[in-house]
Amino acid sequence: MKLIDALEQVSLSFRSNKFKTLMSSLGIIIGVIAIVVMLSVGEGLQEGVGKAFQGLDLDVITVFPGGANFGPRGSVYMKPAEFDDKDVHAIENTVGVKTVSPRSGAGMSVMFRDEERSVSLTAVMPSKEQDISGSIDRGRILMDSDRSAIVIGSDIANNMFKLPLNPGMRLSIKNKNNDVSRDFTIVGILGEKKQTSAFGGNSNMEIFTTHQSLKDLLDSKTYSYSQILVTVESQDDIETTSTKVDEALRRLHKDEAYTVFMMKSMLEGIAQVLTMIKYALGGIGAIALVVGGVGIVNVMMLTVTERVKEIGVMKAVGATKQDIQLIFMLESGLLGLVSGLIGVTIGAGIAVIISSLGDFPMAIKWTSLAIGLVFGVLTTTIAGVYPANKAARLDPVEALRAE
Amino acid sequence: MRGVLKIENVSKSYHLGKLEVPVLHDINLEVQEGEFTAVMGPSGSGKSTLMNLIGCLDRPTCGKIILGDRDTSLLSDIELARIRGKKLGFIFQTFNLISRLTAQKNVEMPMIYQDIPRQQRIKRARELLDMLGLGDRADHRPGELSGGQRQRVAIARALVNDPEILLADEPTGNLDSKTGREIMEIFNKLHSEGRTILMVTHDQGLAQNCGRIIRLKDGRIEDGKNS
Repeated sequence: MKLIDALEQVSLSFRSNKFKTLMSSLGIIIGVIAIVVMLSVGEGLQEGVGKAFQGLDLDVITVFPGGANFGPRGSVYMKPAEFDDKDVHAIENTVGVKTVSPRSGAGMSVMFRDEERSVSLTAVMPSKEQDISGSIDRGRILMDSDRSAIVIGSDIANNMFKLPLNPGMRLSIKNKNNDVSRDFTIVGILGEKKQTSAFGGNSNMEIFTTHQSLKDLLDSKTYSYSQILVTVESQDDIETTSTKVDEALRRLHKDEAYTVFMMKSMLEGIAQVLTMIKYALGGIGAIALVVGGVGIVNVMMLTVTERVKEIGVMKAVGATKQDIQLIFMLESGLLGLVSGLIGVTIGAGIAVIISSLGDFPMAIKWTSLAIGLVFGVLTTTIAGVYPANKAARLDPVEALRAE
Repeated sequence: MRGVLKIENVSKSYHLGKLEVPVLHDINLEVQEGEFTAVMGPSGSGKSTLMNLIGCLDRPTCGKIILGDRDTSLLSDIELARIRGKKLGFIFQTFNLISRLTAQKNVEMPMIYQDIPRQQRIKRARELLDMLGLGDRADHRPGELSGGQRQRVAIARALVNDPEILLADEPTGNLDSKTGREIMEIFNKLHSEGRTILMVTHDQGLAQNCGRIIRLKDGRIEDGKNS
């Protein structure tokens, strides 16, 4: 039997039984809709989170003392490493490293005209901080020789105190832990930065000063860098560079704990989790599809029972088992294809409507549509196997005798 | 004349649970090309079983059925299906047309399984419907046809692959006597054209019409002589 003839037979049987065909395909349609909508939600989630992380510095390696809370190294206690200029030089001399900026930070109180606010003060080495230098809005940049100068973020300048702060104004910063207090001059105000990352705090609330100033405030014998930001020449080689930085530091801090951290690997972790969530959502949709598949088995069994006599006639006039199997498999497969196409169309429509209604993240991807369609066809085809075999195996004598 | 059917020592029994129920005993029969044979006998005598065996719808418990020059007991299911489609034509008491297909499509059906090209199928089915006086009924479904018309569609379907043997199981059983006579006329005409026909019937009058009568009783042939 030729495929085209089998197709004609199937289409004739669909046409003569429109209502039953529609009802049996409904389960599959709903299942495919569920898959497409769920996957679109997942994709939207992925895209939304991706956007939140966009502009994040993927070419930065952060080195900080102490073990990170993850990984096997954190499980054994080691003394945290204390970073100084030797480490900065060592990293600077590593292949693949572009810039190295050592930083330290501490929580401080700022006093300005009887108002007191808590801030976090970040000490930097101005000559190694192109980023901060480049974003000065008013005033001047910090210089390595400054001992009582600060550069402040736009939110601190405009919103922290009743009066807006301007370059040239003085305020005092106090370390609450030891009551050491110093006066500082605002030398520059940073331009307003767009909030780029979901975490890391408000980038317009930063106060920068020099390491010497922070050291004065801390008034302690020892002073070390609490983090070293390393940018790399090439983002693609960041893993290799990170390993080399690690090796260079290991030579200086044999039994001490420090962490070399890449935003990139963390993002990759998040991306993996999101992909899992997406397919888990798709899986929920697939459950609906399986229920639809059971419905198809039911309807196909009913069809076989209804057509027992017809199958007998088909066999009597020369149809082989394979012919009958082909007809019934095509019937369920075609039902799956048509239902799948309808489901994919409606599913995509629903996703478009939901995403246009509000903030709910939805992204319709060709892959989601393809997955919906493939699973729809697959489910109905599998569902058709048993009924088709049953039809093919019918004894023609018995079948012809049926009423 | 050429032998088209030879049945040698065929027995058939069914299993009802552990009980073996014999239906046909040691049947021997030869049918020559062009013969018009009636198979008669009371119900339960094994007529239908014999027709099913000849029609390759069922296999004998023992013995040989030779169609043309092929021993059907040696053939696979697929080969049996091919023989049903090409060498045999079935005509049933209850017509057994497919109700959702038009007369034309019903007649075309056996040709589909023989991979006959579409245009040829349409032409051949049309010719036969015309020949049987149903040219204007080709696009009607069985539900829109009278009993006699339906049986003529069924005859067209049986003839469509030009079979070597026509197997008719009480073809007039569901028809009134006038229509029945019309159908018998068609069989007579086919016989005169050289068709080999094997027909099960209860009707003595119809059987007399045939060249030969085989009487079955309790699964045995009573007499196979030409009458």
